[in-house]
Amino acid sequence: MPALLDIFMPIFSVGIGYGVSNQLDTSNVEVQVPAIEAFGQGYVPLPLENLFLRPTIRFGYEKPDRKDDSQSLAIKESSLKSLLELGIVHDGLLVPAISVQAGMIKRILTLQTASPIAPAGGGSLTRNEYLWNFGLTLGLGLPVLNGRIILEPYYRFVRIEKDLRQTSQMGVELSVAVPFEPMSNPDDKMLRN
Amino acid sequence: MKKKKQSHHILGMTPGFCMGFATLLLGCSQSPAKPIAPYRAIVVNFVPGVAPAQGTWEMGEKILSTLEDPDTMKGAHFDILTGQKLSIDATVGSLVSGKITGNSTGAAVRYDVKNNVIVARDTSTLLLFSTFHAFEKMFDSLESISGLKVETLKNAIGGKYKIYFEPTIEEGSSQSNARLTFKLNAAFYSEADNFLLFRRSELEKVPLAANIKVISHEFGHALFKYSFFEQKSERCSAVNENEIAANTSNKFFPGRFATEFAISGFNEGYSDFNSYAVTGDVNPIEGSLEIEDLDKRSLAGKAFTFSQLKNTDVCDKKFYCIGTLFARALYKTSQIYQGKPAELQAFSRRVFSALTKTGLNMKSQPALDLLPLPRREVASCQHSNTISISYDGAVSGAFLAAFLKGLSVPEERAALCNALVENFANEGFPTEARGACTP
Repeated sequence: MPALLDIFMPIFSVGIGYGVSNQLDTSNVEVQVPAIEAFGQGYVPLPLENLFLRPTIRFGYEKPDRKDDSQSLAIKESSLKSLLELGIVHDGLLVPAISVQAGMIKRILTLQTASPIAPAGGGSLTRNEYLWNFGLTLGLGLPVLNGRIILEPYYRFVRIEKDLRQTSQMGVELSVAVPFEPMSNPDDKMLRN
Repeated sequence: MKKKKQSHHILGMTPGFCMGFATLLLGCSQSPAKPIAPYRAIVVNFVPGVAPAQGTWEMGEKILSTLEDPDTMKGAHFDILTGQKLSIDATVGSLVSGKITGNSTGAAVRYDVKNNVIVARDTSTLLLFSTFHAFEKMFDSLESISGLKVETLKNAIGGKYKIYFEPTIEEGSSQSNARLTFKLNAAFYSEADNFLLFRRSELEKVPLAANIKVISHEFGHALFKYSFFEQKSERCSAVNENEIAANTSNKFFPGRFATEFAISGFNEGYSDFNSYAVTGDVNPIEGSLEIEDLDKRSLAGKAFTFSQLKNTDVCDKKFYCIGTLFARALYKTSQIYQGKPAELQAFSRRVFSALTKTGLNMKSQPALDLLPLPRREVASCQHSNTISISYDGAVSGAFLAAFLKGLSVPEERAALCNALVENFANEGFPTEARGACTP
């Protein structure tokens, strides 16, 4: 590996992410859905040069940013996500990655009424849904401090069971190596190329 | 021994649910359970109070007996369509003319089925089914409040009504403030016999699209078109001075009445009365919009008269104010049947019947003489924004004379005349227009 590409690849890292997807509703109106995520991931060297397998566990929360619902009637939704992910990353000056995700969404649907609408009789509209969630993510990591921190913008194709309103998500993730300090002996950099 | 093939059932999903990531990403999804007709859904429902007390709204399970397909929102009498684009040419109150574009798509509903009841998964779907319920109740009441059979009305318009749910307003629309204005509205698209339910807004309480009082008001416009306009959509034309001059000398030039300030008012007034006849509630917008001075729209609100309409402090709703005066007179007359719903409905049918004769009666005495020649603004096909007490009062007098002539029960004519005299006084209901008041 040339010195220029002397990137430290951690064994483990943790991070947070922020993304936004557009939810196209029944009336062809797009509503933004901001999402925050926390994740932990590992880097496993592959037999091929500079390639790593990156298993990730990811938890997230998202809520449509819906400002146009009427005052007295709405079904509010928010989602908790848990996903397992498996990706391949290439170690270099930039760290491109491709990964696939699968997991579950717990979607919390809440009927919200206010005067003059009485909520009685609408109880069944408040409920939780458990939906499969799948994704394909393309990312491009920007290593900082020789890779101890990686800033990774991404584009994600999303598929949610029984919900075709959201099809993609864009965002950025920030991950930090654990432990953050590099090992003193360069030879100990197990993942260094 | 041949091993029996195992089928996996994960969290209730069918075995064929997904065949790998490629399939998943390309379009695998689980089909929701299908409800069985007659369809039932959780909707917003209006519970009438005893007028003039306001009714209440509740959430509840209702049968949608004319719904043919819950996935496309197609019904026996009307279809609800979503995803349309609308270009507005002109509006007169809640009457709209313009152009609908975009593919006619069925509604993209998202629901679960629980005990064969449709339970919406998002606000749009909840509103779609609530809208269907409100229109269905309107159609259920149609014959009792107008005497008109649903099939007769459908034959007149050449099929089913189309209801455009939350269409997007196209850029380049002639109404520069359309996005703001049309948020707070529902409309009858008169030329095409369609209804428009604009995008819900944070300024509404009960969404207009789910408010049967608003729906039945808009349907009142459809009934006014069927009766007074004889189901015709005459376009006003004044492309040059010759045409304007010809219009000015013709009391009945095509499109005149659709352009008249006072007639627009009577259209609104009848629609408010229709809302009352269907729901028993005296204010079509109360509960939805509380940003307006609701009392001025109420059929039981503080009194004002036609001659006071010059003063915008009294009523600044332009021709709607004439409508309110008319609707209040009809409401007051209907109170002779207070507590007798069947007789109240019979009165509503006679009102509708009188309206069907009004257009023709305008062409005979005394309305013919009372009706002034069109003023230049009207002859030029321009809708006025301000009242002219003398001109609009004369048009109003002609309309009321023609309307009263068609009202068959003398006691009702007498009661209505008294109420009209109170509300319109001499300026809007001149003595010459009161021939039908005395038996």
